[in-house]
Amino acid sequence: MARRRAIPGRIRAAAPAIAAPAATSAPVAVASAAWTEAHVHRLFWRAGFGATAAEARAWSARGKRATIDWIVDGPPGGTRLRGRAPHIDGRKLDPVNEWGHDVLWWLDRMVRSNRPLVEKMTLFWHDHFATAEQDTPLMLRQNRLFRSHALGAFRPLLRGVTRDPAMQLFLSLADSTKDHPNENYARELMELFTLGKGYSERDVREASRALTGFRTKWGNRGMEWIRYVPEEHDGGVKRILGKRGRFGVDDVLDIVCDHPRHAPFLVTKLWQFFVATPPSNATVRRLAATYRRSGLRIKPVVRQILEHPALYARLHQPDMVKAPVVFVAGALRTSGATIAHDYPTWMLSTMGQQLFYPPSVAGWDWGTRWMSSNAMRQRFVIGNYLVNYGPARVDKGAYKASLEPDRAFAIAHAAVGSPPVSEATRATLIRLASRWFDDLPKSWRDDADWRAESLQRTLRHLLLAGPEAQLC
Amino acid sequence: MLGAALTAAAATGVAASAPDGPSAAFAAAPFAAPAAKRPVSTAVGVSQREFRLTPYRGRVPAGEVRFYVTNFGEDVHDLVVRDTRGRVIKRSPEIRAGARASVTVKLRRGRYRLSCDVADHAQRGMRAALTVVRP
Amino acid sequence: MTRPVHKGCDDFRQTSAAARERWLAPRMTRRQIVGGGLGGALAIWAGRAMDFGGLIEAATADAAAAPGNRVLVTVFLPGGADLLDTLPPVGQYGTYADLRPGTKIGDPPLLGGTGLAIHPSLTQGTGGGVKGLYDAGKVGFLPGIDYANPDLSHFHSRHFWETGLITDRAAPGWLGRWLDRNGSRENPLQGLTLGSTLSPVLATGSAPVAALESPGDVGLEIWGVDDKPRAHLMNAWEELAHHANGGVGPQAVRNSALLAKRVGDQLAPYKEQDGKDPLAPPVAYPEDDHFATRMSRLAALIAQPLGVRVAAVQAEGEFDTHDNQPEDLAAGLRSVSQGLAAFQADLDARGLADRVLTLVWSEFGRRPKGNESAGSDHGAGGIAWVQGNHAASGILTDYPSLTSLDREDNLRVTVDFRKVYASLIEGWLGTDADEVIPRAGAYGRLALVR
Repeated sequence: MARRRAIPGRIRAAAPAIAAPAATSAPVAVASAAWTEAHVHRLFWRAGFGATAAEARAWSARGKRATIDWIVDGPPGGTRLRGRAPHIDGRKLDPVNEWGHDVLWWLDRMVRSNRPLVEKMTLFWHDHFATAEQDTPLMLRQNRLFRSHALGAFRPLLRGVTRDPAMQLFLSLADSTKDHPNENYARELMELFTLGKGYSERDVREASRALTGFRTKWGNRGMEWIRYVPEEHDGGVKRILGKRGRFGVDDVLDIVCDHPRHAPFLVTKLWQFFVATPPSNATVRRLAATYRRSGLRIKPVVRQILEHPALYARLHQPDMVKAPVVFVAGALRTSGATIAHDYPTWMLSTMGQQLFYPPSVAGWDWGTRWMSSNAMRQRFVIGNYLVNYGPARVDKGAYKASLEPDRAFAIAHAAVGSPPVSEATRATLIRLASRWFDDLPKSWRDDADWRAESLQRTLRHLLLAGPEAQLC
Repeated sequence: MLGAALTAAAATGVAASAPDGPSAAFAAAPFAAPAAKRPVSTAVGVSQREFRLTPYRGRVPAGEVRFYVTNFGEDVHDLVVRDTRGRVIKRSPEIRAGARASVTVKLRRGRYRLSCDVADHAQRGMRAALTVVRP
Repeated sequence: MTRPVHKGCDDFRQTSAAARERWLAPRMTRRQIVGGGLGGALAIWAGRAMDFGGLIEAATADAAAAPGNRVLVTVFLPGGADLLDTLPPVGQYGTYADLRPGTKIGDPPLLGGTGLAIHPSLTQGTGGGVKGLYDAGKVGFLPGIDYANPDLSHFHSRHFWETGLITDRAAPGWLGRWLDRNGSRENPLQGLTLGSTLSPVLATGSAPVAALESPGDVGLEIWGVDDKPRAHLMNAWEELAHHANGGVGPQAVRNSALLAKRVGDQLAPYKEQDGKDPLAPPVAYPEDDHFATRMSRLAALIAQPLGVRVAAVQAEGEFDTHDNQPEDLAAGLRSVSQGLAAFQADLDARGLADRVLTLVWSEFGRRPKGNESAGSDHGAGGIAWVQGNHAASGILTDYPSLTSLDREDNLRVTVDFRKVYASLIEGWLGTDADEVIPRAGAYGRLALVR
């Protein structure tokens, strides 16, 4: 397929609109019928963590191709974090040492990065190659590996993961030697990382022999190195997935990558990460063909998914449940908030997704399984944080009880960053505003500004953390 | 839940600094801290497992040092800070498997030893060094 | 002969995290998680898609269908509780003292006529604690409980006890399987974990179960909203939930949003308001003790018409007493004794005591010979007990000999825990044990219920 490199000039033309939303005073007159703000919102949520109102305006004017180019290839000048770096208690984040700062550090990248898709794909790989319970420096090192290969080719990523200390320790590949081979990594390599099914216990056993030879050395400051020691490698003949030979580590990785089941397995998982409805067989075949033709590169597959009409189906009735981290990062990003407290770390764990702590080697359960009454309640509770300490903050004495209901709604909507809202939700919230003062005698209402404050708080809360905000 | 991964996930955050859970800390803590000049206070992450003790930082400026300890192991551990003469400067309570604990101590310039003093864990390798330098 | 201090723990280290996951947090359970947020509120697990909109109605209906249903509570003492210091064998005091120079209990209260004494901590609490209940004929001890060739890894042994199976495979818990056969298809509160996440004992294959830390943590609150507008807010919330339409994702959001409100509404009567706690117990529980608080909430929830049938609670103490055993065991047992004694008094005061039986268990025992750190290491032949108005009382199993040890210098196991499970299923829950414990007939039965 034709991969479209960004034309620098075009991108540069669009960039100022992103960087300085206030400058776009004239509304875009006509968005092309095929590419509206709703499309941009859908794309930005699926490929990243939501679009601000200014981004939606600007990119709807640029058209589909330019927008997807920007999402996939990024702006010229490379990766950049926009805005001010977060401080907690007056100090910069210390992701290695401070509890929870690892989570905040990554969350901050999701909020401020100009390459949201790179962060989203880093999250994909964190789930795909789920690792937990390892020392924070090793987890952060693994995170860098995922980020640097986020949209690259699968084979080098898999080689990197196979040699990654956190992964090696988690799945006991470290110190799996010819005399004591450990099957953990070989099994997950086939089941979870590359094939899904279609291998036997014998394949696992034989592959584990081929993967032997990594030794660790520990010192006073933790692990000093993991090294491949040829003498500890089982150099014998193995039979793996119908092939026979004196296979070594990278041979096994090549065998699984070249296996006919790999491409459909991985492209299906990628599709499910971006699209809530399952892919047709024909779509899987097309994506798999793209993947193979490109030499197992991720970017063309993701681009093809992001261009697919299925991603834009039911534009006004979003059908994908936001993962907790997407919900939280997105709410912060689209409302213009920054991270100022470690509260989000804790809330994410109560919602069921703590970064760097996937529940098992199989990663998180995505989709509808994020939802429960408890998780919904935690997603509601974080609204109190968003509405009290960010740009969506309700100022004391700033609102009049005499405001018309639709005006009260408009103020609240603008304060949370003008996210897309369905007509039904808008109507419900305006009706809520019209009833808010019901119990007060008419003569009180002019002085009931305190009640106008709680109305603003409630409207903003429901816009940021209500049922509709859980979907994208 | 049995799986240590889950235990750790459950313990993380919630078990951290506020025993009453997130909402208590949320209500109590101010969100925007003043950017005034603060005394030196340095966090040192520490992991424990059988039988290794790993500080994520080996050198810290003198002042307050906050050790954030995670017990990834299966056994109970503790964290003991000693000076070069072997005097105990600080001793954490016991830290259960999958749990976390924090230990705060003021340290002057010099060298210190960290260890787990449960049973013979220190001899088995649960010890490390920490250097405290001029801020 | 000296032994490595942490034998069991060493064994365990060879099992990687992933293998552990495969064994112990089965994917099956993960698949069952309809929503297991790790927070403190109500979390529900089920093996199939369910509409939980009628949660409380289902619970109430379930309770109404059989108001006098018996309840089985399990209390887990994590870490492997020591038999010798918990029930010191004063009949063999010399041998005991030789084995345990560092931890032995000096002058323990005697359990008359049994040759055994009891840890002083177990006399703490309402009416003389667990010993008081024993004296009143409401506690039956099960010394020497374990299984043949015990695995001394915490995780492996727990898994066996939790599932009632000696298996390295993932499996639902033994009481979860009981619910699958005999429980409701609609009422998650039938299997209740007091805590923030599901006890593996109650993990099911299909039946819904729930975990609840505190009824106060549910409900939807926006700060600074008065009661009157709050009613409008809640109506708006329901409308907003109904706007989520089209596909399984919106449906999941809608259901969770409605359920979050309904659970909040329905548990609101049980929630502390204006300083009044409707679940406040009629008797005194120890303060600032998590275990006691959970037992207190459990008694209160059993008293409500919610259809609670089986429940699981974990004690707070540290029973993996490799060192410092005198202090740690004393503290752990004190909390257990105080909490359980208050629980039993609470059940009495609420008129529930005839309906509730409690099993206290731990994953293994400890080595008879103490170690050099005033502690003891993982061993075989532990301690469990049954408690309740209808519990058989006394010493119900043979106390292991201190002189005739097994090849590993551990106590000889005198009763298989699956014999206890089978006896409780038949004797207390009144169903066929074979449905839950494979080859249950082979273990024989103990009279645990009277």
